Amino acid sequence: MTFEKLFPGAADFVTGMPDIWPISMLQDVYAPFGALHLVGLGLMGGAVILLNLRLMGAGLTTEQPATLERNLRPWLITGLAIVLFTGIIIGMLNSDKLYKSVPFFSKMVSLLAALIFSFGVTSAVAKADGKTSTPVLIASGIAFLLWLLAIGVLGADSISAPGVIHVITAAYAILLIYGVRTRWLAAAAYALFFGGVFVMYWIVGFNNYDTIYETITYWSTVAGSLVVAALYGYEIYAGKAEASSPLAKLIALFSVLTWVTVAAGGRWIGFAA
Amino acid sequence: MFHDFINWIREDLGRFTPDGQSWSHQLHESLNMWNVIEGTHVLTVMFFAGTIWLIDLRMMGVAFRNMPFSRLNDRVLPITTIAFAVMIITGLLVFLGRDPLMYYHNIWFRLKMVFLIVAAINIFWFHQKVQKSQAEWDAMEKPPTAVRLSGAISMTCWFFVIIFGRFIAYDWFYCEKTEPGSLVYTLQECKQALSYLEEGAGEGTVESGETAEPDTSTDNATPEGDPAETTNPADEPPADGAAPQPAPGQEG
Repeated sequence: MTFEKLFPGAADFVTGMPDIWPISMLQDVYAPFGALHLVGLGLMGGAVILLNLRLMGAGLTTEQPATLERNLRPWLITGLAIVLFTGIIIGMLNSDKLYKSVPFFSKMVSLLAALIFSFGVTSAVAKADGKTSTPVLIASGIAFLLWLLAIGVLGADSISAPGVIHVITAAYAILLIYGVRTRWLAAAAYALFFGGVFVMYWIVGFNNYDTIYETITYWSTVAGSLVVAALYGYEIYAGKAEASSPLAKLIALFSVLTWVTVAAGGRWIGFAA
Repeated sequence: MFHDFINWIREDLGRFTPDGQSWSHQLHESLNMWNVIEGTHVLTVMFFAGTIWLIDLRMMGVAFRNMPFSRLNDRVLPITTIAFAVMIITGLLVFLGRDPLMYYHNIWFRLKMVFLIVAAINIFWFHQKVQKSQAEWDAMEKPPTAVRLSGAISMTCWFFVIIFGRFIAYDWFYCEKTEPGSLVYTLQECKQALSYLEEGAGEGTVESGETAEPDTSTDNATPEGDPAETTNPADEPPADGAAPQPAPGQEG
């Protein structure tokens, strides 16, 4: 799925975007915008991770979620403003390529989900100190479905499919920080499934294109995904007596993963072009 | 200074038979491995820079002013440390697999390394000197000058590490495009890099005809064969350094 397939009539408008003033003047200073985009992503990323980890019961647990949300909000908004401002300029300069790009479509759908999660859901959950309400659950459901669509689009494209590994890796990384009971199991599983693939290619040659190794990689990724999902299931079930509700923890987890999908989609635009 | 060592990494590290390929060339030609590693390296910025900047902002007395520094630092620093370890490991693999010599003779890579070293010195200074009096300023909304200075240096260093890291992808100052005798030419040790290419020291890596090509938009030390067949086209830097065209994949 791409925006070209969804809106085929917009081709002329999209192709002409780089020539629109003042975007046309920015061709020569493209690179700094690309670099600042990463800076904004970093600033925003810190705020997203710390708040959601807190909602999951990890990280800055000495602070009330509402207090932490208030402290992090300016940096989340500043980072997001940088990301959106630079992203729009980069996007308009690259409009034709992005119009036809599968990872870009995935990124945009995931961005919508991430914005719903960050500004419509997790901020409200944090302000309520971990409690969820019906409107929040509805918004979460919409954001979750959008994220599933984004990850499905990214994973279904043969070229950008490996980008899903970033999302799975992030899930394992969060489990390493948050998982009280399953931390070391998660580390062992990641080492087995993904470290194993690296070692396999190391032995047979990183540039070995034999399909058997691709198949092994594919099934390792599937197994790795199932295991991390199971570990989260257990971790959240076993921690249901903790302050945040299991639902709030899941929301926080998917909020982080949605932002990671946004970033992964962005990175794979380049690889898949 | 380290040219020969870097060249050894590029050509010989992991090459166990005369007909074999080094790990560097293998990774460069891999189907997805390098992309996944590089993507992970870039995405770790979210974990690393984001968390360390929030600590830096607290040190500068700008953020989390109502929270003691130790409370923030003790809880967040482990996350930052894990992210840093992943960044270093993936960074080394990216360096190994994308053509170490290109990186080595790249002004942006060298500047990135300078800021990494300054950041490391700052960390050392903070832990050895500044942090010794932490009990006195831990709860202060506006910590003493030394603390704020250390935070500002850290924030600036990581900012430039990211910026210069991103600029490596652009070929503005590739040796082939740099005026001989210019400052950048000297700083990048281009004479050494170009003499290496002219001598064909990397046999089997660059066709002799390719070294004379003025267009260096493709990797100047691409492993065997046609670069277009062995690398991801989108992975290449923009074609024109003087007026860089927007390249896909810069969206990070």
